[in-house]
Amino acid sequence: MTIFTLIYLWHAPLGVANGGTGYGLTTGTVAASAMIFLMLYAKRKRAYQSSIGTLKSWLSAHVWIGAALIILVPLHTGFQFNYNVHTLSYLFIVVTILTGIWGVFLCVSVPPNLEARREGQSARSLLTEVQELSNQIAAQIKNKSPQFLQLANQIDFTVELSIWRILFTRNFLPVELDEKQIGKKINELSTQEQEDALKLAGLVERKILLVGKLYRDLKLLALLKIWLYIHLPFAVGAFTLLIIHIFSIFYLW
Amino acid sequence: MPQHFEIAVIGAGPAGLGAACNAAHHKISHILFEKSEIANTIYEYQKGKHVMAEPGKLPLRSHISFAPGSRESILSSWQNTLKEKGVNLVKAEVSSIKKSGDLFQIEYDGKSCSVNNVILCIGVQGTPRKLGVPGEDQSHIAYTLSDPDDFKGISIVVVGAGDSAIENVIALSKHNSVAIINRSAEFSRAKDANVRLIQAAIQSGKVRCFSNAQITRIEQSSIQIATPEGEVSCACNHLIIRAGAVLPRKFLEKIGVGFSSDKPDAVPSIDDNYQSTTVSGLYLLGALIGYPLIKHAINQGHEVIEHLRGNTLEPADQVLVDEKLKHIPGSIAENYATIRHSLPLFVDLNEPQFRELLIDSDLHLKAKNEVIFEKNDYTDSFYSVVAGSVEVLLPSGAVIPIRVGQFFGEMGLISGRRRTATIRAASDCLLLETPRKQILKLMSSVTSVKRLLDEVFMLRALETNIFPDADRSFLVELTRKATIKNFKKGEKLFSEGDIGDALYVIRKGSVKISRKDRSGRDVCFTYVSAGNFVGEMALITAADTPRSATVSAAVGCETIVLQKADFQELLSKSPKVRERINLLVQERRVANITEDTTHSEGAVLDFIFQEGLSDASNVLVIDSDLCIACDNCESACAGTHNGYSRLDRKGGKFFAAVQVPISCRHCENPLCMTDCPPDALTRLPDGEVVIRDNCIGCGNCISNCPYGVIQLVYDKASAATGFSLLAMLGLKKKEKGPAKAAKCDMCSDLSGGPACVRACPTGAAIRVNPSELVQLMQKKGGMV
Repeated sequence: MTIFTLIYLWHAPLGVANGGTGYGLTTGTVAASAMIFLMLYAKRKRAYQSSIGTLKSWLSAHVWIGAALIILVPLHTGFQFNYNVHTLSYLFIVVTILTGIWGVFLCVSVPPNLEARREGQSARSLLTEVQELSNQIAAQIKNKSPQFLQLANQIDFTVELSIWRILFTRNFLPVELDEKQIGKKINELSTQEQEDALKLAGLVERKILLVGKLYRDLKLLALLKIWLYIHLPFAVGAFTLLIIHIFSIFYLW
Repeated sequence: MPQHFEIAVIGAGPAGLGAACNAAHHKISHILFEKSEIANTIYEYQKGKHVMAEPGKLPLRSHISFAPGSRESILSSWQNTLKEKGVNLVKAEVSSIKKSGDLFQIEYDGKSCSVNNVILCIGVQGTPRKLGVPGEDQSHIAYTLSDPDDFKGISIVVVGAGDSAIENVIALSKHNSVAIINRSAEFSRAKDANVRLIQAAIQSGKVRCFSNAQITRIEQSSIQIATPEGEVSCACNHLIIRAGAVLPRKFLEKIGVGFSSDKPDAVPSIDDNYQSTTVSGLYLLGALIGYPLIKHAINQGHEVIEHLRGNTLEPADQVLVDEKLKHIPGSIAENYATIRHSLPLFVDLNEPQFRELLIDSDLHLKAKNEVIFEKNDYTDSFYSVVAGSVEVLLPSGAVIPIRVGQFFGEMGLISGRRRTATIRAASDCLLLETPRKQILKLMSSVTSVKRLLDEVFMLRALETNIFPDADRSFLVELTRKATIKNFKKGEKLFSEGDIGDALYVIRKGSVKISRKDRSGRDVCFTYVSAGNFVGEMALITAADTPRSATVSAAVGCETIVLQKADFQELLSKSPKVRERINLLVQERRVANITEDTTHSEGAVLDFIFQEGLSDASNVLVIDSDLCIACDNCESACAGTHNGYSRLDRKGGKFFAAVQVPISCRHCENPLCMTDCPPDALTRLPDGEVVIRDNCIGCGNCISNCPYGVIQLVYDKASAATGFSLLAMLGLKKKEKGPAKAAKCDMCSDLSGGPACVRACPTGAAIRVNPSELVQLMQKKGGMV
């Protein structure tokens, strides 16, 4: 990359610097080949039988070569940008690269922050534990007085696992819990039920803790995938625009 | 005037059908009696049961076909053959057979007929062993179970502790309340997988179990049981007695059949043509004369008819025997006799057993100094020396000779272990190589084989492990005093502080060694695998020494126990051994001081034992700090294995930031291999445990694997392919191929190695052995 930049500075074409000079054509060819290589990553990722390098080294090359394009392409154009299909294709490339870099950032930073994993659990085992707790709560409220059920309704909650819930929940707290009020309500129960109510409160408390943890982890896991949903369409778009760019340059001019 | 036939065949089991079909084929006048159903034993199998055709290589010589398959397909094919051949089948119970002059008079259902020859093949299943208690003649008592779905919501009691009893209990417990009555304390006769099933069912409360118990009386809807805690009553609407079967000896003796001895397991004496030695013209076949296998019985039926037609047949397997022996110089008959008589281990085998062994084995001529196998190889066959001699090269440099009639490779019988020493031909020699499966079969059916193998195993274990310099007589003496003891997973061999009274050589499985730390908690610091020994310190020091550590079974273990008292007595007679022991004691003392294990390291080892990883040879682990949950490892596994992933990335346990996903670890001691009927599970030379194509999908390995890494999958390749509109609309059922067991095969057919590891974009998925795993976990846990 440095070499290309140095040559660019040294290279003083007659007239305007653009992709049509010898230098421009060279960098253009290199950049187009790089794009093809970048697209091939998708193919290699699914070629499970392949023994051409490990996927890890392919990914590494994918990241570095991709990042290089952000400079290589302006060098190719001689820093000419306009309202046309050529600049649009560069814009697509830039968005693809930026989302890619975001993806790299997420892939590096997210895994160590997955709380459940750190504590030796997976999202799946967390969910099982939450279900187990829900079952225990359900068993706890069987054959109880209406007052008890009312209290249970107030503090217990159902677990919603929609994508929006997961993405937009911060500091998970399902219900506003007024400790005084709950304490009062517990006192109103029969002595036998009071003990059960305390047990129930303990269970719900643990459930809140776990669901909060679950949401945080699921959100992080979702983030690990979300960037791809932007990266991929723009990559395909950039590649399509590249073809249009090449076609229009050589056939229409 | 009663009807007359040339031949009467009594019992339409495999032997009877083989005989009757051959008779019908040659238009010999015959009559075939059956009191219940054709092939009644098979008829009473559970619905859909897979019937096997053992011994696999034995040719079938018969007009009736037989190949492994479902109970239903076999029964219907036999029904058809009977009709086609025009077999004269009479559904009646024979009440008496009497010989007068040259003819037999047969009475049945109030009728009678006379015949020249009687072929008796009534099997033993028709006479199940009864309990002999009051009330056993009631209608709700059965000795078989054909369809468990016939019973719903009632109380059922099953008597017995064998496989059939357990299979019945498990099947019935789905919809009924079931109790099992076991005469002894354990289910030692049953297959491991079944034992595990019944124990789980008992523990979960699904099945009630009475151990060391016997029925004393059977009532209309309850039974009385004598238990160690006293007499109890148990509700019982249906009673199934699975106490095995007995030979109908009284019935046979009434006809005049003579027996080989007075022992309860004696069989009728017969000549080479299955003819009773005491009643001429009476032939006995199948289970009556100790051949319980279907294929043997069918062949015998066929052969008897050929004999009556005046033809002499070679044994059915003669071509196979010839095939095995043809590359050995000399005449086949002489070589056969040499092998038959040179191997003391197999002397007690009867002729068919020996022939089967020979057919399943291979004969090798080896030149002097040729290596038979190397130390650490993963091969598992068993060798006998027919001629010449070989030598065992011990790691210590010592050499143990093995001569004619002796055998080697017995460590391979412990499934999937590496070879412990290299074996080399000491002179030109002839070796018989027998697959592990065949020897295991013999060990379970011929007691002398098991006894001899056990003794030699102990001798060699002691010789290679502890006393390489000891003289044979000392070891033989020691072996005689040693006993074999089994330990369940987690059970303690001995505890820290106990007075040491015995040494344990670990024959199977592995043990973990732990010691109490300052806070009194058990901290595990190492493990010892099969082939090694523990507890020698306390044993060889003269005074009463307390155990310095606790030793418990990491997996189920089989150990050889040497008692201190016996040992000391022998030691006093052998100063040379004593010297070596003293040296050993010093070594161990030094080791004990240097082993300073911290608490956290103990936690890593504890995790590793808990998850059975100490027994792994190659385990897939995921570094959680790198894993981005892309599931490309699973996709890669599915992509290289018919569309089914054999690993579960989301499952499994974590330690620090290391995840052990659910995937095969290729155990050193693979439990999956313990009970595979077609021997489809095997170990490749590099150590991978793989399932071959001859898997019958029985599911034994799935229930035997403690780590849940094996699954049954339908072979997509054999399913109907191509475009079908009906199938797309869901109007036509997709045809599934047969289900087969599938598990990680380490991508043994891919050049680049396991696809899961190569497909990981971040390098999170790696494959390690236990010691690398310990290092990784310690690093991740911040301990290094």
